[in-house]
Amino acid sequence: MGILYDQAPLKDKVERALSDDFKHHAIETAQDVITQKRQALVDQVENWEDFREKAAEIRNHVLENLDYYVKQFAQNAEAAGCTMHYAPTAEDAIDTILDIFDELGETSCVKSKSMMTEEIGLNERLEEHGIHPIETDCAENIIQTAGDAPSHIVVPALHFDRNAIRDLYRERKGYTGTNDPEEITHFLRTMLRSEFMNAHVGITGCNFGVAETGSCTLVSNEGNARMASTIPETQIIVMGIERIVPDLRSLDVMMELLVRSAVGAKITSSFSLNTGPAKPGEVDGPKTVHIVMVNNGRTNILASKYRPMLRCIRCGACMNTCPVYRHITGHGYGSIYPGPMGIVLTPLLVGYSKAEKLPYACTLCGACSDVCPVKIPLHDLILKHRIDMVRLGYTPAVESSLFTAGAKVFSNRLLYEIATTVGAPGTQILTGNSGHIDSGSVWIPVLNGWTYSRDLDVMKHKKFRTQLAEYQKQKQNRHQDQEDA
Amino acid sequence: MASVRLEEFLQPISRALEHTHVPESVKPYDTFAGPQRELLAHATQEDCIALLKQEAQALGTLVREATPETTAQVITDLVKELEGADVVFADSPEADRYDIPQALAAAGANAYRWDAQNPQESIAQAEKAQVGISFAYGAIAETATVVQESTKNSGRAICLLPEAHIAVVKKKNVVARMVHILDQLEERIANKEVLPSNITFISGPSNTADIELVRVVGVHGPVHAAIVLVDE
Repeated sequence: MGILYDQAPLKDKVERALSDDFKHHAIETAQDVITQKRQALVDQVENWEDFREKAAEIRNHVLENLDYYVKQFAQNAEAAGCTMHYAPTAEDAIDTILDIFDELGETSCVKSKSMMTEEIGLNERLEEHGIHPIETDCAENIIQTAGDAPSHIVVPALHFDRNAIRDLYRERKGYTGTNDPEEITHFLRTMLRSEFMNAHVGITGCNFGVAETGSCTLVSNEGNARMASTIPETQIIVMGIERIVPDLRSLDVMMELLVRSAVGAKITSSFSLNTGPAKPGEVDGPKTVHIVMVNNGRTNILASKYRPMLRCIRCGACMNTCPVYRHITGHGYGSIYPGPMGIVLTPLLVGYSKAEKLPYACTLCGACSDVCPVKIPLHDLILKHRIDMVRLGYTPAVESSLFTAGAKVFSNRLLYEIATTVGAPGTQILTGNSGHIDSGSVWIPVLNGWTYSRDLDVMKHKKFRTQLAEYQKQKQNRHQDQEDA
Repeated sequence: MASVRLEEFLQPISRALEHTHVPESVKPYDTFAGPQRELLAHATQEDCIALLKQEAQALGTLVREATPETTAQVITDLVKELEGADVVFADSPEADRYDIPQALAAAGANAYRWDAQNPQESIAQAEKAQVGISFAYGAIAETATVVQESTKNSGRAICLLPEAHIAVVKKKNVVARMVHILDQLEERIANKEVLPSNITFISGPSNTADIELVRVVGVHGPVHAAIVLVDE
């Protein structure tokens, strides 16, 4: 599948997403639930902003010295007994992994959730070569069984309701139970347990690679990442070069931020720190560990003004708070990386010609930058994309079709109200201190349209969530009024 | 061309950073200092135990307290509560010091001692068992987390395959935050100790919310989790 799974025009993707009520509603609920849980926990951490600052500093320090740290990580992982592989491109990573399977003579494996393997399109390529990868994360298994694409980076199967999931497993896997999420989950436990116990190869990602020890960490609630690194004799870890932290101590700051930001919990049920293969005499754990480090365009990002994007720890907080994501859902973006982080990252990985108008699926409200645990100025980078698209001549096509493409989203009342009342840093960039959109920004197609068609009472300094809650209350009242009438 | 050599792989990274070569050292960055030291900075051992109990309750982890003399009884009671007919336990000195095998046998449980000499049997027993018992390196109060090292006498499967996991932790090894465990690990590395192949931070039973965000407990790992705090 690779990074882009839907290359239909943005307009079509958005239309499709907007017309799917269930999907739409599921994402709204997910955003509300996760955001509220996250906020409650963040409010308890009085020095949360210091944590964000520290995390951004740690990530920056690694990026500024990435050649040093990749080397240190690689050498220490090798010293710990891992077999290292270095893949400049996605294709190289695929070839490397296929070679490992060829050498082992294995034709199947268990997999735990990994964005890096999705980025390189690993599953399809394994299948093409007669190797069957079994996704063991519940959501990923649902998506794999359905042959569908993820709609979120942390909870990727939200767009399926319980009935659809029940029917899917009835049809494809002999499930005979009800639509109860607990019953379905326990069916998956039993079904996948036997896959784990018979597996010889486990493929996992890596949340953080520790340079000073060559360790790889895995963050998981379901325990499947632990299973994949306990039972199979061979573990293949696929990781981007930017996953590194300098030392073990840095993991505290990262975990404090990652779990709260991702799922609105203090901690996941397991966090594993794996260093090399099992030691001689150990009964379980992989006898062989292959680490495939992947560049796949990251050095281009490193050399560019988009470098802060490489700080990303894949928590999904930006999409959980994004008003556009709320409406067009993950599928509106057509990329495995959706939402604000996806808008920044996708064009950097696939180029403007393929990423099409993604940087315009954004209101520049800046809510994403406010929640980002590593302080990536996401909306600012999105704006930079738009500037670069103009500079590189991608604008005419955009301008000509922008309003047909984005009309539904951008004329949507909810979106408009949110986008125009947030008063976040993004809008401040455009407005300076005046609170009005200045003439320097009218060239931006989306805003151009807005400034002509909407009045400019737009820059109230209010928190996005407050605004949203107020709006929904109003909406409810309106419904109530209508019903009463 | 699949994989390249490390030197070749590093070249574009150095180029992107305008480095002529990979530096031998970097300007030090202080990972020690920071906000992670401010939270719970003044928590006493008692505070930590109280916090651990509170957080455990939120996660659905059972907590029991014991002395070295009562640990075996507390564990057999827990095993009964968890309906464990088959039990697998780590082959650690503590198991014998607390007389756990005898107590389990006397209580009628079929208890299997993890056996590095019989890898297949050990895994099979862990898969069959309803309860796994391990002896943790330490615990973290803030998140009710037990820190479990894998060794040849204490496999990963003990805390993963059975439906319930009981972690035995010495009270004195309960720390306030993750960073305090990481400090200890840093110290061990500084003393040239080799890290275990796996250290797992376990917080409550495995769970998911992948179907309509409904929380379900017990996915691939344990369905029940318990901590026995031993005062010694």
